Amino acid sequence: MGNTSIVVSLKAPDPAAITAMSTFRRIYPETCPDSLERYDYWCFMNPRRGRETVNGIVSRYHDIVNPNKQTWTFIDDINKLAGSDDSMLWIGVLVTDIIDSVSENWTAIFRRNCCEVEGVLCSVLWRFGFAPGIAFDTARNRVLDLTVSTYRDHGLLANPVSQKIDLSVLSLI
Amino acid sequence: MKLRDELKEAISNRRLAMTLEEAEKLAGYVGRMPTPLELHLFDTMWSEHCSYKSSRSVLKLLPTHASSVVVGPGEDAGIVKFTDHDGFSWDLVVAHESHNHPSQVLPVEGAATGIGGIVRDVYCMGARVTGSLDLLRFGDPLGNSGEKSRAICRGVVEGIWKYGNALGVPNLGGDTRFHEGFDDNCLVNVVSLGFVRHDRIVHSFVPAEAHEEQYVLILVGKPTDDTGFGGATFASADLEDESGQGAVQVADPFLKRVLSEANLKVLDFLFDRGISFGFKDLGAGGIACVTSELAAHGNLGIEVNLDLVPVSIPDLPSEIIACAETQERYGLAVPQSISAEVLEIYNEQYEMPGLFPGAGATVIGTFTKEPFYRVRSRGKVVANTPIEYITEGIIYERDWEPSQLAVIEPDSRPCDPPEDLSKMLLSIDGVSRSPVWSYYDSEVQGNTHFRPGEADACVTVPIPGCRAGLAVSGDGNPWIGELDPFLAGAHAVGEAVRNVVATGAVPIAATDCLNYGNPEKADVFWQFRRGVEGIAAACEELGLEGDEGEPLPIVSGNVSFYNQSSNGGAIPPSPIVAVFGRINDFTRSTDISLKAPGNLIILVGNRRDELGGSLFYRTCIGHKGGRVPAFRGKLEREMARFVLECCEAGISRSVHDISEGGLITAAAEMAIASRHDARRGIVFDGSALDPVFLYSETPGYLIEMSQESWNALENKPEFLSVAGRVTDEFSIASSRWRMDLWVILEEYTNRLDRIIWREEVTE
Amino acid sequence: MKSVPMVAVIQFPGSNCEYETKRAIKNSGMDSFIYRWNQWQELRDGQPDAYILPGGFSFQDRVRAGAVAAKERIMDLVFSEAADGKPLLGICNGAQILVESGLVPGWERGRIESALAANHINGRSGYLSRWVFLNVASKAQRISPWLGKTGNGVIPLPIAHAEGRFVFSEENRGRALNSAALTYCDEEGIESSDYPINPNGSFLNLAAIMNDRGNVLAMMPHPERAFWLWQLPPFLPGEWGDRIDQSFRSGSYAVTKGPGSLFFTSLADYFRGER
Repeated sequence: MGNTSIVVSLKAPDPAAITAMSTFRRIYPETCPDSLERYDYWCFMNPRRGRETVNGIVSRYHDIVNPNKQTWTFIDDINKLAGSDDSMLWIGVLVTDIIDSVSENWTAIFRRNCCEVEGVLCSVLWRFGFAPGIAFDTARNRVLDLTVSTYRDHGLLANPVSQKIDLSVLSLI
Repeated sequence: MKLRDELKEAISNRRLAMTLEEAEKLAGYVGRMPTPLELHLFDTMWSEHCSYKSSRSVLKLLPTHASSVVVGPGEDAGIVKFTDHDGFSWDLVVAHESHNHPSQVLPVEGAATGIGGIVRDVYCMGARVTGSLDLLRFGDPLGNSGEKSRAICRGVVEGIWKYGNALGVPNLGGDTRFHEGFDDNCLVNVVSLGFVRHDRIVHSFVPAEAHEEQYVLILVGKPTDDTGFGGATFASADLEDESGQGAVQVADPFLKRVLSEANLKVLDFLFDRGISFGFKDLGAGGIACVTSELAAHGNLGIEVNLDLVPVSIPDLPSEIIACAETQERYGLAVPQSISAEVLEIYNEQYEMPGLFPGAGATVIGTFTKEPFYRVRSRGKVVANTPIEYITEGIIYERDWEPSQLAVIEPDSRPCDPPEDLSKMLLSIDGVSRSPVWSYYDSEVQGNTHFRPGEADACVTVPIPGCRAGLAVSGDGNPWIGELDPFLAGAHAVGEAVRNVVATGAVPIAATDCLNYGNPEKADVFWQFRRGVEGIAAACEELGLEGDEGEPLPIVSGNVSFYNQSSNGGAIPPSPIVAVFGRINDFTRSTDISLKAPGNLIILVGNRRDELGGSLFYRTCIGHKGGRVPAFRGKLEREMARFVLECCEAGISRSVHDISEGGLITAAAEMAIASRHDARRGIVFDGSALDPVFLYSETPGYLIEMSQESWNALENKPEFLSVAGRVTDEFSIASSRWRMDLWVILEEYTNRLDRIIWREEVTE
Repeated sequence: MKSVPMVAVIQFPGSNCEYETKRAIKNSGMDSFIYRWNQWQELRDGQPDAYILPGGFSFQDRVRAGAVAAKERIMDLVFSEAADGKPLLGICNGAQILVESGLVPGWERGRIESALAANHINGRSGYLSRWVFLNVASKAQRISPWLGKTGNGVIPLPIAHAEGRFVFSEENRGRALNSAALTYCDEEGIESSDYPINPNGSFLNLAAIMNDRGNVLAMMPHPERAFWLWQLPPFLPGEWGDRIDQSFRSGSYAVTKGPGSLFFTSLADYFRGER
């Protein structure tokens, strides 16, 4: 047993990623990444039959993945999703609300409807893409700077007062 | 290859909805094998959605003329006179459409783009949009396909709030109904309304001035992509393939909101300068339709250069650029001499290119005196057709065949009022819709007087500083549809009229959306025909404004066919009607909440033994058939006049119409709407143990008024009686029984939330 | 100061309550102009006496409500004007922008010390529209130009938001109490953290917070939607419900001001005191 995570992305360009990217370009022209992707990230806790259970949930609830507009994959296979460019350096950062109704409510629904899973935690996974040539540590620091919003003129993607920021997800990939 | 074979191949390869005969007709028009762009353009123009090819001959039955009508059906939205204020005449602009098929496949985006499309229709008449309504029909949430129906319901409501709320257009309710007949095909009908100064109405064609001065076509909005490709014809094919190759796109309310603000500025600029112009939103058929229609309806030709169209995906084929249905776009026909100033407003003042890559305004075409529709792309002519053919359309006379309507009454009708009332109120049809409305922003713009649920219709005060109120309601009962397609149409009008009248407003216009199965099937086409006849009959009777004998005019509407499941079962006949009313002083409008103990409850409309399709039959005795309430136009009219007079005289303290669940349910709803720190109830006179009295859905009203007001009424028509009086107990009772409403209040309020959003369905 | 105070309403891309907010200001005897997000120059030259960031969905709440708008250049100007003590009110999305700008609670200049996170309601997520009741914190009423005339009673106002839950880190609990301006309660003024009295799970039942000086106020409920009595639900319980009945009987229903007007009246009164 253990957790199984999936990432979900829109088939059409993601409007939030477009807005975030154009904000980066405007206010942090020096450090902004070359590419930015956004995914819904669902971490299923202890699915009884592992990926098979998660497959079942995903095909059952179109609220989570509607195949008419979204594609999804297990987190390990994220590079298989369209848009990933192997030549770039990719760094993922996971932003999670410390308290989150969506996760709680789906957890309750899964339990009630016997979905063979202990719970689910939803997050947003942002993937920063940098053109080749940048040092990993430099890129990592930029990601942190651009993500963690501590001052008005500092960071954008996460407010640490209400959100957790996790860079370790990339080590899973 | 022979032309015929080439056409056949094109239809199949390009997944066109047109028939071979239609394609041959097109080839005849252009005198050769049509280009891909021409094929797709005419495929859209001749789709059921755009051409009304099956329905047009029947739609002629609808009354569309009245002295108040400014613009009837035909343009993007209908317009009626509303009121004069501050030296100007203000007109009401209304539009009504369906977005059924897309919402079944992509509930969030389908519902969102449904709102997006309908508000564009109202905006492009030059109006400020001040309200929208959603009329929703979902499958049985507790039935065999319950899980799917619940997910679609959740998604549609999410699409409505994510898009509609962000747009800043208040949601004025609508209705939400559930019926297993919608398990495979939900209905998402959308109504939008707005107001325009009479001298500032904009039309969707290039103005006559373009014959003298060079006009150009400005495309404004989101950059064109491929995601909407095929959407118009999508609505005209049976629902079978869920993949639907990107028929609905990601809506962008944010860009739309900025675009709406910029449009207002551009329209002000053009009016201030006294410049004539044409304005039209892009919907089905995209650039191809908007450019050709703006030109054709102004009796000009146009030459479009697709290389100038901003795109978000490189190397798109010309037919996709021309026909894609990317959201949030408009076409504007203005003189070439001022086009730079218009572009400056969109691109510089509102920085559209900075808000979304590739968004903005661009000149993409030139109007020509030569009456041709000509499109160029990469140095080649990709469409070249006489413009008159584009709007000519086609028409079919469909066969129809009546179905036998059997009237089967139940063997017995046991009556246990507390038990029955509890069952009806807590049934999926009877429970509060407040969980749905709680997602809607009904108050943005600051003009809302009655929100959904507070009165029979929402009431707004749309022109700041003016006391004229607008009341609006939409209706359509699938249970009646199943039993009698004619009465479904008539009662859809009747019920919406009653809702508006109950608030004290005089109905001034109506719109309809006619949702049916496959019109090529004779029994379905008969249902459609009967529904239209029913609407027409009711509208003829219910003109309460204007000169004697004038109808309630239908000023806009839409037909949606092919609503059916993969096994061919059509949805219940679903004519859905919205009615718009005006109350000259909104402070006189009445809500449904009981006010003062001791007041009388006056019954308007004697109860009759016609419980067919009623909530009582369905819920309490499990019977679906029966005699449906008749439509009695003259009586409806007299009752409406009486209710309006009471309101005018200021003697009505609360008014509620009698519909699903009958008189007893209406009474309970009035009690539940009372202040929770001053709970009220009703005690009926006598024993009240007659199912006809308590449960019949014969049209009528309940009015709360004081004993003195009742005594002072000089004229008491025979359809009036005293049904009971208001008490300070939160219950519905008679001398023989009592139903405590506290017992069911929590369940009544939250049951829909539990079923739809919490998935608490194991009973 | 101008002879008639002028309040600037800032329109971001996606704002949608700017017009009714402007009307509320004008109906309170002050002047108002709407400035687009890119009219930095015009706003500076207009020399407003106060600022309002209206409700709506700036940048469609993408990334996080208010986060992108907080970084717009026009906020530089708003930021320095607030630092100079000019009254600044954020309503709903405007409140989200103020929080994401670090203008409230504003303990350390420019630092983001609070969040307006997604509503936390058992069994429900997303947008919520409903009427709530509010207590005005006494210190806030004393020092804030937006609250001086809000009176002693409970104030009913509508909320309409998906991200309205004030969050502070636990170690800032005490300081957060000090920044409280409005708190959710029932119609009798009794506070509770239970839904729906507290409609979104907000920390300390906070519906609005302010900076230490009180000139900057971030409130989630919409006062401009309750400016007139006729905008209130007909079945509203409590004192304001009684006022509906009274004004109806006296025939003044159309022109009687509602609880939301108190915030604008407070500002007008504040300016009168300054003059």
